[in-house]
Amino acid sequence: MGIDAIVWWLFAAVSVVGSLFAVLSPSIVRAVFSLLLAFGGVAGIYAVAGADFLAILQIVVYVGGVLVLIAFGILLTGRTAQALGEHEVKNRPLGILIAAGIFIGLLGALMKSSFKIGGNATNEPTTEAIGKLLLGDYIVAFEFASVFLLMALIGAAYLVRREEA
Amino acid sequence: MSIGPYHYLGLAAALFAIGVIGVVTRRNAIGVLIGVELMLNAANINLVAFSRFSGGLDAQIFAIFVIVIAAAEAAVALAIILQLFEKRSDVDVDRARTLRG
Repeated sequence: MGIDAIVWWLFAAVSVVGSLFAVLSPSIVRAVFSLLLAFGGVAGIYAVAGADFLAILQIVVYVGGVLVLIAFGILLTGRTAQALGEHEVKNRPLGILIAAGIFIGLLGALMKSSFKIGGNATNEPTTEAIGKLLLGDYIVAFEFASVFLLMALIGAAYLVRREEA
Repeated sequence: MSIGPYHYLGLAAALFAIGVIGVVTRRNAIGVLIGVELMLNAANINLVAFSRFSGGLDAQIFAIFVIVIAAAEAAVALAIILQLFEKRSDVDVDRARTLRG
């Protein structure tokens, strides 16, 4: 087992354990910090897979953006997080059963499929190539994404406004 | 044994299933959002794995767009949750049933 395989398993374990705590922890604040672990593990997986730009993006957007946003959401709705307490989770055995069914179904599909490995996996930097693709072949999608982000921003700001009397 | 596509896809399946647990068992709306984010991350791992083993970068472009959508989704979902909290002073998804027919 090479060093990259060991690192891969390490990051996979970190992301799985982090996400397990994130969904099973009774405290929503602990869940958010476990989510940090899960996102960090996934960023590591990207880095091991040679997707260096995506790994950085994962840290900047998820850890720096989404996670902080969720933490703010918890702060602003703090009273209920405590009020729910141990009633925070409901139907856990059923939920785990459903999730196990989905997992086994996905693994079954995975075992039946075969993948043709094309190209050779290199560990070249990807940022320049991604930039050229984004502003070349995918320029229309890129522009749509920017308009979409603006729409989401305006929509979110409109939704949280206070009603003027 | 070297890491192949099956490892990545298996890990993604595990993360997706764990996200499903969060979505179906949490009562706090923010907990549900955490589960959704995990599921989106699982999808991204698949895309990165396909990019790794096909030799092209196009799958990573799709992963970038997934991240963009996820960020916008988190912002709008939190806005809705805050508005729900304003109106009802709780974020329990079981009790938000005003629109139920």
